[in-house]
Amino acid sequence: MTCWCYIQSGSIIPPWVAVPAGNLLAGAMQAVVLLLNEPGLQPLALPALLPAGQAPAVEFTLRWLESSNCTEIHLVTPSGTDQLNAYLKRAGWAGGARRGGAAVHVMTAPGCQTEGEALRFVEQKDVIKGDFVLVSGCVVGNADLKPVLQAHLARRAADRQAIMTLLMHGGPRTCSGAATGGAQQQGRCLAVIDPRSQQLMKLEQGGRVGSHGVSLGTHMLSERNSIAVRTGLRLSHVYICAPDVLMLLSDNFDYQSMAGDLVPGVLSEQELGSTLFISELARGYAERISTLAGYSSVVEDVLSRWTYPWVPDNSGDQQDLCRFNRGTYVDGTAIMASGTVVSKGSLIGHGSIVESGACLERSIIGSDCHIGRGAFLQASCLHSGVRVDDNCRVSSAVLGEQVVVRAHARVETGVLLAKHTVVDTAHSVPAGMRVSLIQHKAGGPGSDDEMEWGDEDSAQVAAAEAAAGALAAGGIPEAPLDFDQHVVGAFGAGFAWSEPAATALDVLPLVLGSQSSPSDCDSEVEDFTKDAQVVEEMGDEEEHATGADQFKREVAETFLRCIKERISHDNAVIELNGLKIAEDRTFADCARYIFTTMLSLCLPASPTVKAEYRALFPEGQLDPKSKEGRLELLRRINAQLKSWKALMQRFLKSSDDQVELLLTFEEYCAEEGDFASGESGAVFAELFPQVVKLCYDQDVLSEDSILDWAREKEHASDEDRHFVDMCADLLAWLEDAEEETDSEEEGSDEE
Amino acid sequence: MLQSPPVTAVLLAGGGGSRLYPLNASGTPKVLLPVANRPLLSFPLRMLEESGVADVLVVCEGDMAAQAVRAWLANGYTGGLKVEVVRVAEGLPPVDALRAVLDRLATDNFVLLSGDVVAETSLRVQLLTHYVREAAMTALLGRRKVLATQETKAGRAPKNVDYVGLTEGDRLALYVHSPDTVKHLLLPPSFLRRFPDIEIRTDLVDMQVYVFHTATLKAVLAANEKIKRLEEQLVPHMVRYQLKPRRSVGAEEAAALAAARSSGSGGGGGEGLAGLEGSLADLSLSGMSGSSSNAAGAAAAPGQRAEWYCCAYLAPEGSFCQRANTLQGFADVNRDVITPQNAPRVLREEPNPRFENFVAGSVAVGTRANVAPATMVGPESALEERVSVKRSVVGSGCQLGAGTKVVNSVLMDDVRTGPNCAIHNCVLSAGCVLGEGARLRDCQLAPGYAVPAGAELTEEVLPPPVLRE
Repeated sequence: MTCWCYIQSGSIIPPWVAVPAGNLLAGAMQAVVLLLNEPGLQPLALPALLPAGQAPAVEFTLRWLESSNCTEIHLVTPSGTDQLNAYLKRAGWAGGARRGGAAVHVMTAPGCQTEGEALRFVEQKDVIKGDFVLVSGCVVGNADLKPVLQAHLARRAADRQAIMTLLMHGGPRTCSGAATGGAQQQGRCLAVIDPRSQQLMKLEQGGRVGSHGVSLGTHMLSERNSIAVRTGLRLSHVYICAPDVLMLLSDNFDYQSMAGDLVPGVLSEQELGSTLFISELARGYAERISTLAGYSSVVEDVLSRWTYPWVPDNSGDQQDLCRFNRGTYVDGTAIMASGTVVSKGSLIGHGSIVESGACLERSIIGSDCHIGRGAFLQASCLHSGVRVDDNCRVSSAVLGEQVVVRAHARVETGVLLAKHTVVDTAHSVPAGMRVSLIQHKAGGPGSDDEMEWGDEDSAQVAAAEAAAGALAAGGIPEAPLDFDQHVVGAFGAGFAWSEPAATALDVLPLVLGSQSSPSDCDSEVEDFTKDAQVVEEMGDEEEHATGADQFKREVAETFLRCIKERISHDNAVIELNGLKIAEDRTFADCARYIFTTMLSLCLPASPTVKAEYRALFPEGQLDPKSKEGRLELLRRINAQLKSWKALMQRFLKSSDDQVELLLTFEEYCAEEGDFASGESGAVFAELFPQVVKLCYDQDVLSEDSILDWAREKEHASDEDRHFVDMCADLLAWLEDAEEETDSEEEGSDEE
Repeated sequence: MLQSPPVTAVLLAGGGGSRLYPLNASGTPKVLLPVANRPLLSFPLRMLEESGVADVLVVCEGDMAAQAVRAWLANGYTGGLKVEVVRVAEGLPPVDALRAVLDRLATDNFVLLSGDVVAETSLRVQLLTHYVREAAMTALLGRRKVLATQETKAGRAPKNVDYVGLTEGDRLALYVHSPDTVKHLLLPPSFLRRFPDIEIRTDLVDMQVYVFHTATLKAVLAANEKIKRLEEQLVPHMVRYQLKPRRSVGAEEAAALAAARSSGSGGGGGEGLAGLEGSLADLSLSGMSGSSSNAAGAAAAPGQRAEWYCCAYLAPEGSFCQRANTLQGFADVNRDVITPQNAPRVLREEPNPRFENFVAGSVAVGTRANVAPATMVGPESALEERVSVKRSVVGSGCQLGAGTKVVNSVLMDDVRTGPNCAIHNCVLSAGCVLGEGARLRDCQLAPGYAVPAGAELTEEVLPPPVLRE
């Protein structure tokens, strides 16, 4: 993305920015803005009304759409209609009288959680008459949409089936927000397009896009001589749609997300003939506010004037006294005591007071805030009416309306304090904490989905607010509430908001279905076809070694803890299963690490073992070379197997799992792969067949799986067959045994 | 101009060339079959000579081919190259043939090319591209004559195409040679991370003209004994492992190779590179604009040095670049090189300005005989009255009987036809004889084949006469 730089050059107006004009140009369009709840921003207030600079985010969206010839803008929101209407009225959008420009309508779509639901609601209302701009979420932008709209309409005129144009960013964020990795990952996608026509042929999105490679059907090349695989594109969540899109959503009730469901759906039903196109934004800004990190970076970008002409000192209001000077914005009505330090990229809003000695570093102070003496604010965003008392430290946090941070308190990185919360004197709010006066019913099924602003148990909220008000004023609440003291301090007000698992929700619409599994690929050609995937999977293990390592450590630790705390097998299984599900592992994965941990328990503790578990390990060194040493080691292994075989069996569900275990044991003995460092697996190498035999005796391994394992290795190289060869006697004995049982069975049949 | 480092070339002349049967049935090696009445081999040799390559190893399969090529080099070759013929066993896979001469390669980089390439692209520019990019491999990609889309039904996977993935700096990010249908292409995750924008094209075709970094290739071949074929195995392997060479040759070797490539190839480190870029720019004036001039890709971060840069050198748009490796290809090359557009660039000969054709001075042309444009007739041939030759190559010493029509065909030396024969889209090997009124369409005739009078043959491959005894 080529970024144009208008920082501190307030007089230049980019050529594509329409000067608001009274006349309606041809090609005017309708627009739909979906203002759904953003789980990533909870428990902050309505995302649309979050201030970005002086104005709320929705103001940016509306101005942008208006400048792009959208004459009728429908805001669809599941809740908070009153607040939204109130703002629109205040800002003069309501009624469309103010500018002679866009008419803004608010539509309440109660209970709508997804793009699909909201758009089906819009379809029912029957307000969309032609092609329209769909903005999903609060997008702050200034990119010129007019050429995109024209191109879309031209395509539509030529081909009625070209029903949608997806606006995409050509590259990663290059603006000031680029530093925040979270925001950059957002909207990352893999798109396969026709480089000539920009037709979209495949779209995958989500957090781990491309981490398994991508499989491309060559039929895509039947009608064009080249396709482009782009991983650098990002979704902007702006779509130019034909009305057919609404019909499609109505026909397919299971479509929830545009990029996650509708796009793959249309692409997979090519026979229906609908086509999608992308439009790459070469320049200009268009970023959505959907997570905390995204919000912070958008605010930062607004202050850095990426969104020009919509910047804090250009609200269009003559009464506005906000001035931009040397990188900082200070409202004319704000009072700054002498001796305050305000760095570039800061904003001090209407009527705020900053006491002497306060230091603001890239921080935004909303209106009517009060910053105490010696307070230090870094990369933080304060909404209106916030009070930060003397000598507080706030870094990289977002503080909602009327929040009070009492003297000497600390608010650490990534904290979010929702409106009216109070942090007690000298208390420190731990990093990443989200605090709200509303008690989040954590753990309840679908609690996130039922979250609705303002529709909470209002009595409870009122009580909390009353209590918080009293605490904020320094008094004692009449009806004391059981606030989370470890979060906000003894005299603070607020509940810890259970982490909404922002990452998980961000990647929700993962297109798992469309990633074809390796077995789908029927081609036999060597590289880049089938083989490639296998090789790469091996490589991925290598690259994600840290992930595997962590899982291994966690299993080992859980296991050791279970031994130490004498947790029953059943409960240990539950804990380990929890780990398995959390990390999306297999039973075999658990079994292999339990097994290796168990083996390590037969030797003195290695230096990496945590002190608390050292007592579980035997003390005396063994001499694995001597016969006595080996016997002792075998004895120990047998004892361990005896006590844990029941647990192991729970994780060795199938023969495949058992083969997997044997392969792991090999790896462990050879000190390869996951066990390449810090483990003394080599000690067991000599005893490999004996240990396998013990496992067999203890019913941990079945004879079938041992034989399967040997068979699997039949054609392996000599090196790989090392352990199989060692087991030759055992295998022969097992095979004999198998034949015996077979013949016995036959015999019994005969009888 | 800057002195280029010395480069050796390995020319895989192959043997009989089974795909050209029956043209080679009498034992003429593929590379000595005539293209525009001169041995095919003279084209790749000229390409090498013009690029500044000094030493050429011509690898022939079997004694017969080796002897024939040696004989031609001794008696017929007029170029200035130092050419040595190396004989390898018959039927040896191409990569094994290359292995056989590997020890003789002493230059930092070397050219590997097939003996059937007829191209006017500049191997010199390809070499410079290779140096500037510090590439491990640079492959010449030509453009398909018939686009795959024209031969493929909508929604079906195309057949017999090269899938070439190109990314910034003409770097090869995918290479699949698919004689059969491939339904899915897999792009590994590391490629997706490394290359944000990969364009996969089907309109390019591997011309089998490569520049390799010698040490890298030696290491790859040593570590991967299973590689036997060029475009099916070696090239995909190099492209596939370019981001993780250690998986192909081991970590230490990969690091050592990276060091060797960046220091050795330019001859003088950064300074040498700068000079080369300059001369590349000089050369790229001749119509090579976009494809080779952006040398910026050479500036790789130090961490990426261990990677192999697999580079594509795209034949400039409109340039002549074909292979005579199939019957169709052989006939096409013959017909295409003598067109007035291509001849000056590929043959380095101007056609007769009036008739736009090539008719040797010693040709006897009968009354009302007609030789159309884009036609070549070799010396000592005789065209009797009312003979008509269109878009064809006629060898030397041919005799075409009265009223014979030859269209879109290749007649090698000493072909004789009776009167009123008709030859369409055929290749007639040396010494073929056609009886009166024979009509051939889409046929390929082995050397010395005799067609009886009045025969009508269509789409036939006619083998050599079975010798009794």
